[in-house]
Amino acid sequence: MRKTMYVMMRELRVTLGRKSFTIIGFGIPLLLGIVAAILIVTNKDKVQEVAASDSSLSLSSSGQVVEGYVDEGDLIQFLPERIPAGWLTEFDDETAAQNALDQGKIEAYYIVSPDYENSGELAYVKSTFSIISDRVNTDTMEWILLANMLGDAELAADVWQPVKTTVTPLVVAEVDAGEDSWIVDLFPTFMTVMLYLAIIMTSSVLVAAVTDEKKNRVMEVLLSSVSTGQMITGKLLAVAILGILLMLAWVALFVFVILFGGSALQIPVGFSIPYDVLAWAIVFGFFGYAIYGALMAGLGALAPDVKDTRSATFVVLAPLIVAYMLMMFVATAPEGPMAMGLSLFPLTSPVSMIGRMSVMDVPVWQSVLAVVLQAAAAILIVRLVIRLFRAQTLLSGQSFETKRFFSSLLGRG
Amino acid sequence: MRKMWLVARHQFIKEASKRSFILVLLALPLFLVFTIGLGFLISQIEKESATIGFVDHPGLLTRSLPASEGEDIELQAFESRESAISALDNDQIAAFYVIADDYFETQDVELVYNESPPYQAVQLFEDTVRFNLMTGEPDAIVDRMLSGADVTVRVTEANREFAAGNPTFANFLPLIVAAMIGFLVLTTSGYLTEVIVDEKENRTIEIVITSLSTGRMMAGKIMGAIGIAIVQLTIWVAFLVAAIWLGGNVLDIGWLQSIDPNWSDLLKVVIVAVPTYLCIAALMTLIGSSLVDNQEANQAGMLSMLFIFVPIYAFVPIATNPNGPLAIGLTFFPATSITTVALRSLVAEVPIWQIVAAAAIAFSTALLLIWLAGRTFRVAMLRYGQRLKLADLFSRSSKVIET
Repeated sequence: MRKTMYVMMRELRVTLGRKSFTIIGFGIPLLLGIVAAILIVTNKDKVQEVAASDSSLSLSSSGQVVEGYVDEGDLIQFLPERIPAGWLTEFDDETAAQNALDQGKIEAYYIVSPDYENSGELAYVKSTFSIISDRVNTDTMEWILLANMLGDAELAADVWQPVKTTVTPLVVAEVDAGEDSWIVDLFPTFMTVMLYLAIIMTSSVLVAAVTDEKKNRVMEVLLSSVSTGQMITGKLLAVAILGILLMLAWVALFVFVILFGGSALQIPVGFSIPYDVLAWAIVFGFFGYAIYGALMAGLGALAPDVKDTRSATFVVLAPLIVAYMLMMFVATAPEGPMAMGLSLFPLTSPVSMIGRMSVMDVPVWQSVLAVVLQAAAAILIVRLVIRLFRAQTLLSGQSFETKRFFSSLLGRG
Repeated sequence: MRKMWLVARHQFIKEASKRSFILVLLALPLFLVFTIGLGFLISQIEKESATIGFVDHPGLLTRSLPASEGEDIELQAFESRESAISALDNDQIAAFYVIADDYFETQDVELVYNESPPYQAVQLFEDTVRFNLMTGEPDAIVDRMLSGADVTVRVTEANREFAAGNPTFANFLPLIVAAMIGFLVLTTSGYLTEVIVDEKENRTIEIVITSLSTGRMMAGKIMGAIGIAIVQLTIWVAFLVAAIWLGGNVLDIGWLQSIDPNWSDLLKVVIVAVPTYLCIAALMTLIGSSLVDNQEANQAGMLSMLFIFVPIYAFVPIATNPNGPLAIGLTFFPATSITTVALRSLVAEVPIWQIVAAAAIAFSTALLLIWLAGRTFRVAMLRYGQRLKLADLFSRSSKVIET
């Protein structure tokens, strides 16, 4: 046990000592936290600015925004009585309308195309427009055009708003606070990406660690002091701890956004931190690190150099990549057969099960079954990889082949 | 010059003949195919299918309206509220409307359901009511009402147009190009940081250096790696075009149809991207020359890609103030210029002088880094296993090596 711990501590020290790992692993959540903090401060100011700027809009005596229109097809013969006086001004051509816009006499203007009846082309011209915060509402102008096409403003009003609906739900549904919030929508993606990145980053560390020790002959010394089982267990424990540390950095960011985001980041009132999902993420993450860390360590055992493992790395990580890409399916249909299959299959469950838990309450038996299957797969893969850590394999110096890797793993090498 | 081209050609052939190169070449196209296929499948899954009942007391709905293409929604008439409730309880219908006797005076209808019906079903019912209210009107006016207006928002100060106020796929093309460059940086960073590893390991570097200068050698290596990048980018762009055609014309995905790219914006991104990639390539080579650890060198590539995407995190302030100091500053900084120009193009026209200035800064930085890479390589040539510090590059001992 002592030697295993020693290997683990050394691996932790070396990896955490690498600036690139710490910058990428912990720097990104830190940077995002800083961005969130800036957004929290600046959005609070923006709310006050918007309130102040409201009073500077061009208003007619009726309180409406003043706009203009250029009717290229002479479709508009009358303005319905409901339209407040002074709200809409006709201009002969676009130049006149643009001049009025530039002088601030109007906030915007419409251009009705000559063949509006057939093409429906309607341009809405403004000086500035933000795709983030501004919304376009041309309903009133479209209603005016409909009234002129029908020749009857009242009929147009009835057609525009055809029903006044009273809703009678026979079953009272539970109101989900924050159902439409961005953070609720983004939570499954966040959890998936967090686990995906953590597993890939930490397990990739092992490939280079093993190949580097082979290249600089430290492996010869190590094998004379520790058994292959102790070595790989120590390395895998280090990978697991690194992965959990990375996850904790992201969880800290998430908690910060929830606790301090407030109205500035449109966090819905009553949105609580899903501690249960986070706890399950640590469990699934741990076994994910074990599985993929072991496979990557096995790659390192066979390859003379890390650059020889690139194509095999892709093959080994393929299930995880596929699970990540299929997250849209899982989020859209979390109770479907594909989602269930992905969340139970050990190579994809770290990502898929957590993605499912982020959108629905997964039955406990499924969660437990997934953990059991993952644990069994982790133990099996680790035992297979330990076989690869035979001295003659580690020191052979043979060139790397993907086929030889999988054959050796299955005991046929 | 000839020797430099020799080095470039050797580097290109060496990398292009590896199996991993084919894998990387196909990575993005396969991902595109997968994503578009997935999008198509999800849109098929999300197609709503429902039957909505109605009880028409005043006899309003004498004509029926078919559901929109691709939606499987239909309306079913019932004689009474009780028969509709029975159908609802048996899951034959998703919901039903009861049109009040005095509808023509009050417009009152009642919507009854167990679970809120899909939006498309509500829309079909309301359109059917509209359709019947406009009985006798010309077909063109009825079609116009039911289709709605084709609204385009024109923003005069930004010189931009948005369909219905929302950016379209064409507006996002510059950003897609920027993302492609980011992916290119990630996939080619390995080649760039390891340009001299093989020669160092098998000791041929000392022989090569007797034939040409370190500066020319590094320039040749960088050019070879850039050649690889150009091949990758060409294949990826061809696949992107093919994917857009397939998605729009065969799979009938709406947002991939009738794409009208703004070629001016795309050209601006390309003008900035070329020298910026050269700059990043030189930086990767410099890092590879100075770092001892292969793994650190590889992770440096990942770090560069992250820098390229920093403007994404600053999207809101950039989009809100596309000509502000933050946006302009990020445009001139080589690592972030590609993505910033792409993001700014989404909401405003980027002035030509800023594009030229950004390209000039990136190109000058690239030349400086290539020179520095040559110098680093020269100083580090005999320092096997030792990490090179910045001060070592300009110290007296490095000058001794030079002479």
